[in-house]
Amino acid sequence: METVLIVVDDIAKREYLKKILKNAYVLIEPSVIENAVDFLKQKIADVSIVILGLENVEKEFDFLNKKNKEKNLKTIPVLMISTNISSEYEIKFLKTGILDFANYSTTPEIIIHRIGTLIKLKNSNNLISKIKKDFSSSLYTREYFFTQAKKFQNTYKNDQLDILSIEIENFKLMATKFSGTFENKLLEAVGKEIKNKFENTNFGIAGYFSEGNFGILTKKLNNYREIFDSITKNLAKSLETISVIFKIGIYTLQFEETDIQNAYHKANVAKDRIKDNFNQNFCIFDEIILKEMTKEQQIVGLMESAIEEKQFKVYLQPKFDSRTNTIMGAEALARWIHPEMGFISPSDFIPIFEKKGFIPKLDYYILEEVCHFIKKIITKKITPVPISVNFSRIDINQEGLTDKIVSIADKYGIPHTLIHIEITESAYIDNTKKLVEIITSIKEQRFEIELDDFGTGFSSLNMINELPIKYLKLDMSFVQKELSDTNNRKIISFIISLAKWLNLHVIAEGVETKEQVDKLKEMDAYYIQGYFYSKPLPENEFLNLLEEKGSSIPLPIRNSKKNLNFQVKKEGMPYLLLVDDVEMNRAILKNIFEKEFNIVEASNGKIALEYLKDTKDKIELILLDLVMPIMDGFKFMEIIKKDEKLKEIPVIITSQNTEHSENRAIKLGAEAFLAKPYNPNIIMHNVKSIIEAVKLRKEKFQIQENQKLLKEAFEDYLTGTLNSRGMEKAWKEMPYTCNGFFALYLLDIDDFKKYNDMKGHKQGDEILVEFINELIKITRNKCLISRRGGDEFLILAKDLNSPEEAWEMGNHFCQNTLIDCSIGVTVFKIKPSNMEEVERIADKAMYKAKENGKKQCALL
Amino acid sequence: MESFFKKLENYGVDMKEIENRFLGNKEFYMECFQMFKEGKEVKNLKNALDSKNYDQAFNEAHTIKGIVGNLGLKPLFNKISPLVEALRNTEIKDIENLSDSVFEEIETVLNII
Repeated sequence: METVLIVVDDIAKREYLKKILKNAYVLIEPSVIENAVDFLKQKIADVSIVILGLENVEKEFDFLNKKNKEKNLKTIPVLMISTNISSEYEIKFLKTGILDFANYSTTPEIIIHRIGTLIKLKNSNNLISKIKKDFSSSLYTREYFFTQAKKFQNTYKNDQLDILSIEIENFKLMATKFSGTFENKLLEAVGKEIKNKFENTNFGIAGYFSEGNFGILTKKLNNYREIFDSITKNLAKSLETISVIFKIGIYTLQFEETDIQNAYHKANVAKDRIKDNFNQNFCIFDEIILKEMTKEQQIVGLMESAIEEKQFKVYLQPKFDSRTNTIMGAEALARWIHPEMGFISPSDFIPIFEKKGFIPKLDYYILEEVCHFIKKIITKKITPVPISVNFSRIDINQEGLTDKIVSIADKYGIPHTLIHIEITESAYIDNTKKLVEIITSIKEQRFEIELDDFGTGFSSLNMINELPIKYLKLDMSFVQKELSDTNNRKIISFIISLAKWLNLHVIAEGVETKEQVDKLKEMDAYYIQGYFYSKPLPENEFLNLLEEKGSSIPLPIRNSKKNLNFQVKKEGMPYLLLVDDVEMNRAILKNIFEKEFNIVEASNGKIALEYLKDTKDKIELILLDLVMPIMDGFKFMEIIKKDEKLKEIPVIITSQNTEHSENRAIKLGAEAFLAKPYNPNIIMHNVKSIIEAVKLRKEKFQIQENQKLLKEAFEDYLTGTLNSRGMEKAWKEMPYTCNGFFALYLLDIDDFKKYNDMKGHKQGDEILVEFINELIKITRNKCLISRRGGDEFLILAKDLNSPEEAWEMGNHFCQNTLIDCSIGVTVFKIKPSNMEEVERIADKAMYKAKENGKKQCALL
Repeated sequence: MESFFKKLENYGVDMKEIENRFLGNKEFYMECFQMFKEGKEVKNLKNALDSKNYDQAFNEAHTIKGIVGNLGLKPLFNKISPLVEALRNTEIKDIENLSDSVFEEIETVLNII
């Protein structure tokens, strides 16, 4: 909540303002009005706006002038409030930097709205760096936190101080997962808790920086754990839905340590160490972290010059084909040999390079070196093999990756097929859509893609299906030692058969023993990279080995992925079931239909039936072959046409046209017969029009069904005329006026009981039907007739010239029915929306007719 | 690859019809052709005829006829069709007369590639 400083000297007016603003803002006021500017100076960090209203105009000018003299007070907006103000003063005030005026006589809403607008204006008005408080959390902003931290440090010179770096775990994820307002709600709640625990109890100051990161400077405490446990508990209550987890790094400021930003950085480094460690929430900055930090800084300091001075060397680890012992490729690895520090391990520098955004530079450098090397191989007239270069997920997020790879390869005139791009699984997690897009564009340039580290981390079948990958690199290290263990073997053999199924080559990495090679061979995996064959070699040694062993490049796999019987369900697309024993027939049909349908294949009727019985997919149409082993098309048709659920699915029979089976097929209930060999246009047209026709048929049937139901709901079961519900509906749908009068008749059969008593119920029912038929005849279908219930009927007539005509017509009914009845009638010019009242009058009239001696009509 | 299709055309394949059926995807046609070449149907038909299992032979011949039709191999199609009918009605004399020339024709076709 924003804080408003009220500088108003009239008590009544002040109390009024406090009353209307107290729910929207935090309100503060100086104890002595004359000291208002000094008070503002003290509270500068909190105050968002001043409301100024003094009885003496000169005093108001005095306040404004004093305020404007102070540089950092000047930007605080002021809303003038008064009972009335002359335009002469208004201009004068505007010159002193007053931003807006409000009148006590306006509504509270307007005053609140003006305050809100001014605060917004202030925030947007290029004053961002001067904002003291973060909008959502109400804690200090980053900049202001560090200014305040200095002051805090001076105040508590003699105390030991801790600086805390705090991060809300998975903040980004939470913010996107929940609604837009959730982020604010979360920050507000956390800000409030931190404020309570640290600022309000005078232990320290707190700031919110960005993306779920907070900083706290506090007198050293020994119960951080307790404090944050309590915060977490309170948050669970106030946010209800989710639990908030904090990762906290703590650094104790050294005596006379003045660089607080650097101190915060250290706390931050400590925090980052436990970021992915789910059971550790606190980390104190210690000697070990300090050492690592120093090392990291050292590497960062060395990395720029390392490329310029060509300290990175490319080593090549050959990939062997274990069947022929020839080389089928190599992976390029970066080796850093520093003139003073010697060999620096990739595991030391790669994570730092990634963190510092330096990795693209290195990857492009390696790519260039590789191109250079391939050119060398070619000029030496040795058959080259493809060399794979690693690209980090950070590269993938950079603009123009594909273009850059192309331009480097083309600079050396290297055929693109000789360069493979290795990516890791982890690249897939961050931004799936973008990754697929970029990798596809690289592949379109004929660079092959190798997926590194398959099986070590986040493996998704979807990923290997979505990405145009050709090689799967299976890291043996995660199963390495125990290839004899059957479970591990099962995993590997599963991955290998999966790869085969998806038409991918598998390269086993990290292979160290002959036993492993043999086992892999048994599982049909022949491409091997590892110490058993060769360690990573410098360029010249690799060249010698290549010359000695010779090369063999894997042939392209004959079937492309898209023609395989592996398909991801496409949401929202209709399903088509192909039943044919000949694979080629199915392949041709699939080729025709797969863009618009999800295709399910079955090689005979039995398999198709089993599928239909189990599946929840809605099959739109079946394309059926007739001559098949196990269960042929005829038998299949017979069965599904007897099945209540399946008989609705339309079937098109496809067979060879010389068989005269067409007639038989149609007799079995097929929608159409199409001859083989297929004509794609005809078959597509037929499938579509039949699906449409079936849909229409279903809709028509549904409409008929609905009408039937409707009719039943509004019709009297016995007489077929409207029931009272039907009458009510008709009443509602009728226009309010007609050409003259409406008349509502209520008819009651005289002494109906006697029919029942004399001749039994059936007789009574017959009387009712007869009576209705007579009425229909007399009214000549011009009136609405309904059975009100029992032996009572309602007739609604319209376009009558006068009430007399209505009464005469009623008498006409009485005289001309064979069954005697009494009638009450009432007339009206405008139809009331509710029939009830009119009905009651007609009812009264009917009783009058009965009293008057029955078999007559009475008008009311 | 081009000469493969030239040979096919010379053999009597209507390339227009093929392009139409395979939606212009010649590679896919080649895959299907390969499927036929590597498939067991011809061998099965031979075995069924040798063992005089005419029901089985009918099924195999019928399948081959379908495949051949889809591949647009007209001369072979014209030869195998009467064999299928003969098998359907188990006219043993006709079967024996027809089958040799069918296998010869198959041989010719498979030698195209």
